[in-house]
Formats: sequence, structure tokens, C-alpha cells
Amino acid sequence: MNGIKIVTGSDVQNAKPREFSVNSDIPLWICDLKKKPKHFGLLKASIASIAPFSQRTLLSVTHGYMKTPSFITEWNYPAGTSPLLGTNQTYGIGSLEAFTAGGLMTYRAILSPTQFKIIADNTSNSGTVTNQYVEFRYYIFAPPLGEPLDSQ
Amino acid sequence: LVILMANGAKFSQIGVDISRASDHELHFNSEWPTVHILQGGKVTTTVMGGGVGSIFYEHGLGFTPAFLPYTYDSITGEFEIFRAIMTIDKRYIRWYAPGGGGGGAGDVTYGIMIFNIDLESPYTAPSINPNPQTVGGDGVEVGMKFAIEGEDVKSKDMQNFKANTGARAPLIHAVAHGKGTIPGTTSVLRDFEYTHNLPYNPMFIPYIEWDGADSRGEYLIVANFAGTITEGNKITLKDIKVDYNASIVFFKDPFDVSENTTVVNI
Repeated sequence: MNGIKIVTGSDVQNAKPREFSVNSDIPLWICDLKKKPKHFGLLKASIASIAPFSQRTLLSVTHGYMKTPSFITEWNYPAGTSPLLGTNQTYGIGSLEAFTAGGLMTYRAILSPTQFKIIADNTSNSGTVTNQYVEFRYYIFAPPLGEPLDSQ
Repeated sequence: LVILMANGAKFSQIGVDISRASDHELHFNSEWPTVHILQGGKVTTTVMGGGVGSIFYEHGLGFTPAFLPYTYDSITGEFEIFRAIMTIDKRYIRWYAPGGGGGGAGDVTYGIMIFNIDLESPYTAPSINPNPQTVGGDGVEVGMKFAIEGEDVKSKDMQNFKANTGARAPLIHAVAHGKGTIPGTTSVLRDFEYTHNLPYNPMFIPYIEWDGADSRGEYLIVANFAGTITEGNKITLKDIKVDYNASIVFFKDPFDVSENTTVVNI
């Protein structure tokens, strides 16, 4: 086997998987820094109004991989305000469902076989949603999510 | 690009001056672990209906790893981080019908990523240069690459690599683990609080032990309205059942660093 293992504080022969800085037997969750458009970033979205049952695409990144990659998003909502806002989180993972005065807003972070997208969706029929501000940080990672897990 | 130290080594991301690199700009540093994928991909399993926790996947790792579950749309091929209940323990990932009682028996498909992070082993990495900003590069285009078996190390496709300094990998800053000690909204609930020591808002994934029937030791992601509150450096996970555990995995990656920022006004 060719490769390296780097660990601090443990015998590399007996180290546990969670202790490695690098173990070339195990893939890192890597985001390509050279991809254009970039596979990481911060979205800052302001929405003046969005009608009931309508969607707006806030971000779309064509990832360019043959195999559907993996991703993570973290959001901040309502960004820049007091964190003590009842049931709303200020930071969270993945997509976001937000109860607003105008109705239920869903901010969906989705990875398709060709694109990564963040979509604002007023899923409620209770009215137009106004004055929204949300931030999403995102990473598209090269290791594939769309391939069958081979240890099954 | 690489510095060998007395008891380890560190690599910066390609093009970054390692003498000035922020912690989050390193590809790795032997002072702390890096996020590796122990198991990942798409899984289809036949599950029971009626809100029962069905075994979805056996990872068999012997510790409770951090994981991310993704819904999968078989028509569009789209993945989205799962907002309902999927739990993980030392051996299994379990699926619970969305809504608690809905859902019938049948085949379900999800994507899963299982990482080398033990949710039940508290850990804090040192902070060497926790500058949240990108410090700039040195233009150096050499680095370290390890291709997966059967692939050429000269490949331009990052999916052919296990490690590559032309990429960024999340770096683990801390794993906070413990029981809630702060009184919650009722007498049988407690809040779990943790104060991190980074000078910026880091990315993090919160988990709590699921308090369903026969679910001790099973953790799920706190997604959406389950009650995460941030206040400065303090993260609070709200209303965990008395004597149940919570874990928060912190990455060194800043949330709001100004790199590749997209501003949308509609």
C-alpha cells in the first residue's frame, strides 16, 4: 500500500479513524478550490416580496462532475438580528423552513446531477411574504453522494 | 506550502503562503484531525411503516460517528439534507417515518455521509492562527495528491482523489458533548450550552440524542426549528430530555468570511 498517515498524540499503527489529520487510505471530504464557478461561498439574499406558491432561484452553480457530488450548507436567519427569536434558529444546517408573517417560506439547498441550487419558495397560500434576508454558506464536495454505497 | 514540525506536519491549500495561513486555510495540520469519509453514498433499504424506527443501514463502526443524511428524489436525482428523523448510534442508522406516524412499509432511498468524528468523545483542537480572513497566496503550485485506486494522480477530476492540496477539507475544531444542565421549558427538559473559543462564527453541526421509544444512544441532527440558539460564542441546544446527551461538531471554517460572496436582491 502506498500512502501516508499523519496523526499526533497516538501511535499511527493503533490510531483510531477519528484521530487522523491525513490517512491516504480514507478519502478526505474535499472541495476543489480551482473550480469555476467556485464550489464554495457565501450567499446574502434579500427578498423584497415573493408571491404565494412562487419560487425564486437565489443561487445556481453548475458543478461539472460526472458523478453527483456531496455538499453542506449552513444558514443564518434572520441574519444580523437578535438570536432570541422564539422558534427561529439563527444558524442551522441544510435547508430552512421559516414561519413568517406572510406565510411559510422554505429556503431549499438542493444538489442535482448537474447543479447546486438555493431556492426561495413561498409554499403558503396565506399571502405574499416580504422583507426577507437570509445568508447561506455552502460547500460542494467532490466525493460522490449519488453512487451506491459499496459496502451495502 | 509544507512545514515539517518536530512532531508532525502541516500543508496549506495550494497557493496559500503557509507562514501566514489562517488555520482554516490549511489542507491539514497534524495538530488536529481532518474530516474523512468513512462511508458515503446512496442507500436503498426496505423499511417498516407506522413510525417505527427501522434499521436503514449498518455502519458497524463501534462508535457513534457524525453523519449527514440526504433525501433523494428518484425522478430528478436531487439530494437535500434531510430535515426529519434519521438517527445514528454505534452500529446503525435508523429511519423513522416522516411525521412520526405516517409512511408505509417499502423501499426508501437516501444519501448518507459518515465521518470520522466520534460524537461522544469531547475534543478541542488548538487555535494557532484563528484569523477568519483569507490571508492571500504565495502562488506556489506544488502540493500533495493521493489518487483513489486505479486513477491517475495527474487527473484533473477531483473525484479521483482521496487527498489533494488543491482542495479544501473541513478541519475539526471541537466536539462538544454532554447532558443539558440548564432548566428547559418544562421540568423534564434541559438546555445544553457550549461556548467555543474561536474569534468568529464557525460552521457547526448540532446533534441531540433522540428521545423516541427505545432510542437511547441514537443521535439526530438538530435541523430547522428544533431549537438552536446562538448568542455570541455561546450555542444553546434547547429542551433536551433530562439525562439525554447533545453533541456539537465545530469546524474551523468560518461562516461569514468574505470569500466568493454572492449578493442577491429580488
